[in-house]
Amino acid sequence: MRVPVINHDVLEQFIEEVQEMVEAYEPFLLALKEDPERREIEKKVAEVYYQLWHSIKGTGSFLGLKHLVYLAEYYEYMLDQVLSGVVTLYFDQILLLEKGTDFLKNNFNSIWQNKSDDALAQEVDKLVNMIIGEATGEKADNGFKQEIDGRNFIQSEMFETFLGETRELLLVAEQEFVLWDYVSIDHARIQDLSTVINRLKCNFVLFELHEFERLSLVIESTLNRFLAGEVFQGEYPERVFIQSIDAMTGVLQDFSVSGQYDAINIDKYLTSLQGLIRQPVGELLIKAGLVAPEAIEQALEIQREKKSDRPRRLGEVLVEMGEVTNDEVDKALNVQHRQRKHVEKAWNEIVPLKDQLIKVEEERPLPDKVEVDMKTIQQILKFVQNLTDSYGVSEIPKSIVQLEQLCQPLQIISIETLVVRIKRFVHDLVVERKETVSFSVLGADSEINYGIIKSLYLSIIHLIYNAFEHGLETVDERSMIGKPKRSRLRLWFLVKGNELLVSVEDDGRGIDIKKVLRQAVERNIIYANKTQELTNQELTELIFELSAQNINTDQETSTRGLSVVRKQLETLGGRAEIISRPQKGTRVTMRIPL
Amino acid sequence: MAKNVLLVDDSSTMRKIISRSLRQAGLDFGEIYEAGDGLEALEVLEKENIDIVLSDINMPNMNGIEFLREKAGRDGVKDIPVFMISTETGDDIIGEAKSLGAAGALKKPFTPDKVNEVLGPLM
Repeated sequence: MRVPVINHDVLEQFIEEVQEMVEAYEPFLLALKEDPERREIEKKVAEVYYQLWHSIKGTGSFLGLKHLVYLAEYYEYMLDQVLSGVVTLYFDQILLLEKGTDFLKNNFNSIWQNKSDDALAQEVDKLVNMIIGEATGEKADNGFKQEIDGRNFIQSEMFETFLGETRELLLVAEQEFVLWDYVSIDHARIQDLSTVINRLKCNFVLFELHEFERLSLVIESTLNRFLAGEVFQGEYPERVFIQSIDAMTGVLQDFSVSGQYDAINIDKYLTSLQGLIRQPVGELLIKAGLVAPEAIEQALEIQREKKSDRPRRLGEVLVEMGEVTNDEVDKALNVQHRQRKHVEKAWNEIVPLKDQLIKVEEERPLPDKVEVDMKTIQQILKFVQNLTDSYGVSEIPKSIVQLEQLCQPLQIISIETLVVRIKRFVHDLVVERKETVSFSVLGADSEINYGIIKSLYLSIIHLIYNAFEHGLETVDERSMIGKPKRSRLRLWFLVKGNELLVSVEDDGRGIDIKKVLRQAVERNIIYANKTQELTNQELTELIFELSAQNINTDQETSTRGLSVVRKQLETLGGRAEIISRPQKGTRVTMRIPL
Repeated sequence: MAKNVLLVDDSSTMRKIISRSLRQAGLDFGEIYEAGDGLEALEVLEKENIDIVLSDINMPNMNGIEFLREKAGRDGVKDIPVFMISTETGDDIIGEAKSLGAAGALKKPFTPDKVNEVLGPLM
């Protein structure tokens, strides 16, 4: 939508005004970047940038620059959180502010030339996604999602990866359940199946599909109970599992086609699953409140003791003890019976009539994505490149040009699969250690070179592990020193000029620099009087050097981690930089030349 | 009789838009004065003959709410009607403004018709 001619003078003044503000405020942002601890600068930056985006929102909406307004709303929200003291301006948010001003600077001309901001739609969406990505790490509990517009945040590339992986897992699970007769007698195989379900559950957790998370949890625990020795009732228990798997597959199918999913009611699946395990009479009576658990214990003992006689049923023993009446026992037995019927009914529901079976199979889409090894892809790309080069200055035939175009999407391999794996790693660490951590990943878009990240994968994992081991504090420690409850862990990717930067950053304890310096002096790596003058680079060297030495005496994983980082960086010709402040946190940045 | 207006908003562009809307409303406005924040606005109020104030809420140095508070304590100017103009329509902030003496609120940017509707009765 173009700004009408009568408002062109307003547009001109608007651009001038925003340009002035951007220029005037930039020094504050730079000062904050240099020294992120300065509270006064942080406050000033938040205030002025709030003014900036607030103005843009106001005048922008008058002029109909709706994309700018959309972006401004998100920046406003982010800065409002800072101003009201809910969050602090961290490195990545400063980066986002910078990106915002760069975006404005780069586009003033285009807005004036076109008298509109329509061309900026895509770039704005990208920035907005970054702001959301940054914020949801922390805000998910506060209902930030609902405030914006309730849409699903998952960026599309990541979702494709998730869908693919989840589909595969569901397929494996389905196949195993179909072969239940063979699986059920193989303990190890059931355990593998339980692991598959667990991974499904983790996927659903990551993407907040809560009903499926719950369903997977119940499937997993039912399998585990089976492993523990409990018995399934009903002739074909696997049908109940298959029913649940089908439900999940169906919904995912809808999603991949239409981009939306309708929440389903999983209650009937849950009931069927719970009905699989035969509930012993004792449990039923306790549930009904007729008997205390201690009485059951006693009865079981009596049952065990008097084994030599005709074996007595628990119900009988309880009646003898005077705990329950015969009627009550009968009732419990009825409940057991009903549950079994329920399970059988569930089985009947999922087996379609004969005609339907063929119809369903006819309509079921066949897999049509191919898996190709990356090496093969590189070879293909190389061939195509050689082919186009061989034409030199003469005209390249159309078919070759088309071939080149077809290969374009092969050039960029998204790092999303690696990012998903990293997120799962963090998720598992959080669960294992019962921590409260907000983890987010920035800058993992398609321009990041897959090969390099693959080579750095272990380094990233180790740096994250180190942050958990040494950096992050407990909730109590944090509240004592006035930090927000949730620890923050950030992984970010940035291409700056001809360097790739990968940083792992936490807001925890920081490295004990004094200890590092002490050790260094003790081991004669540096002179005692030199400790004050060290640059960041030298300090980083020191930390790496010490950990390399410690590796022989120290079994700590953290030292092993830094050695891994060092090795991987050497291979890539890169270097690392550690910035750490006591109680503020640590940031390890790896720089790799491109 | 022509009424003089004071526009208080930190964005010069916004002030331009608003004064244009005021002129287009066809009401008998005299001089339109401008101020960039609450502090400047108080200075203008002391110096010039102002009949109506239109003030933004979010401003540096002294925001709209603080401006209302300050103004209420100054005898010469406390009775001059103030209309809050803002992109917010949050009831709580407008409510607070009204409890501090604001005569009304206008969501910006506003059309000449809106100006007529809200300010017409005062002319």
